[in-house]
Amino acid sequence: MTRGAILSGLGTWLPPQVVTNDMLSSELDTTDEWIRTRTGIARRHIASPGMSTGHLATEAARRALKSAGTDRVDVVIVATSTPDRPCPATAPVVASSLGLTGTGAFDVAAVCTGFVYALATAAGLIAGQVADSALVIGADTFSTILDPRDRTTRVIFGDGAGAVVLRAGDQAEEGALRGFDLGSDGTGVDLITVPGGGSEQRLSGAEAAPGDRYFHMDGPQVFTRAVRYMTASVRKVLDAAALAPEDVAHLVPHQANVRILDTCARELGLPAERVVKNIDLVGNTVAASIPLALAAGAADGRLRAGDPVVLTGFGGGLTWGSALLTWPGGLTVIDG
Amino acid sequence: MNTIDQNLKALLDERFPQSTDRLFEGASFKDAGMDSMGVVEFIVALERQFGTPTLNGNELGAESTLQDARDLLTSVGVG
Repeated sequence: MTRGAILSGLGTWLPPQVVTNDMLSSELDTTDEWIRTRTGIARRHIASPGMSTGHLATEAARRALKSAGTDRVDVVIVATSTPDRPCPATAPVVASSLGLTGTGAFDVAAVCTGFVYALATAAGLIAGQVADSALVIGADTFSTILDPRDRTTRVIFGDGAGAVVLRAGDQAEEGALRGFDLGSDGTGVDLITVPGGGSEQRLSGAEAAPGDRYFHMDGPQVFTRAVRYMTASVRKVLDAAALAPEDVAHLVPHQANVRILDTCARELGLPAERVVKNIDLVGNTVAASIPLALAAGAADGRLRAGDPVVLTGFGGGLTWGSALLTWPGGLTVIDG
Repeated sequence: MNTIDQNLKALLDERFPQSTDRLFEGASFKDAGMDSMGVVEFIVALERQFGTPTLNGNELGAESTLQDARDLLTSVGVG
């Protein structure tokens, strides 16, 4: 037996408030048709005042633990780039909210690739016998960092959380995480960024410009790099397992933009029906995106026990990463 | 038709067949029916067709023409 991490629970939570394209069109210079054709998004969920990323993370985690039939894990990892506070990390508060005070807990910041990075970290902790189980949560409230006047980002992002439970097991089991690829390119730091509020701006001695606390993204440059790095990363994780794109039953990509997803599928030679998409209903939910898409794929019966499934993400940093797993049997997803 | 144009035609016929003729007549991407996202998709396709994996994605816009694409390819050493 080769010790590895097995996917044993999956839960999600979306804040109840829904923002439709028509609602955005009433306050921004955009239309439902423009948003749908450029992004594939019809609606997104937005956190209400009084909520926080930790709140969303806790709700998703509670459901993932129930899905796994457990109330204990050895480590809690929250992937987020909108933490409850700049300091400390959000994960310890989430762990305590779950009744897991005393459990190792920390955040991983890799923006839209955060869930894949956190999953790889958790799988490594399990393989290295540091932990026998882990809770990996992707949660973000990007609505809190968007410029209310920026029609290009307001239409894309939504809030949400998704979580998985991993347990130690045999690499040959269904549900096993079989391989990872992680990458980064810091020369692209300005392409996806909140420029102000960090040590760089504080130590510069300059006052932050009003817009610096908002999220900025260079759409065209992000598009080409997302396609380039996600497709290369998928090929890399498959090569390591001696598999080809046609062997993949389902690709579950970060739901960045439907046009990016379609271009990735085309570049990989994957039929569109093998790419799991739920961006129409939730938008781009950053670190929550992949577990929310996994839940959508499981809910519609597409993901079947033993299927080779590849997760892939791309985000700020720049960062990218992929994970290969076999879909577990008997997994009951609990949605919020 | 030179090699660049042959490759451009092959690329457009495969990915944007409704725009090929208008673009070769000199129309802008927008006037040939492509939206701004379509122009970025075209740039991704250029990377694959011509093996130029270093394009940024913002070199062409909706108002650009096929001549701008030819100039871009020449500037990165194609042709």
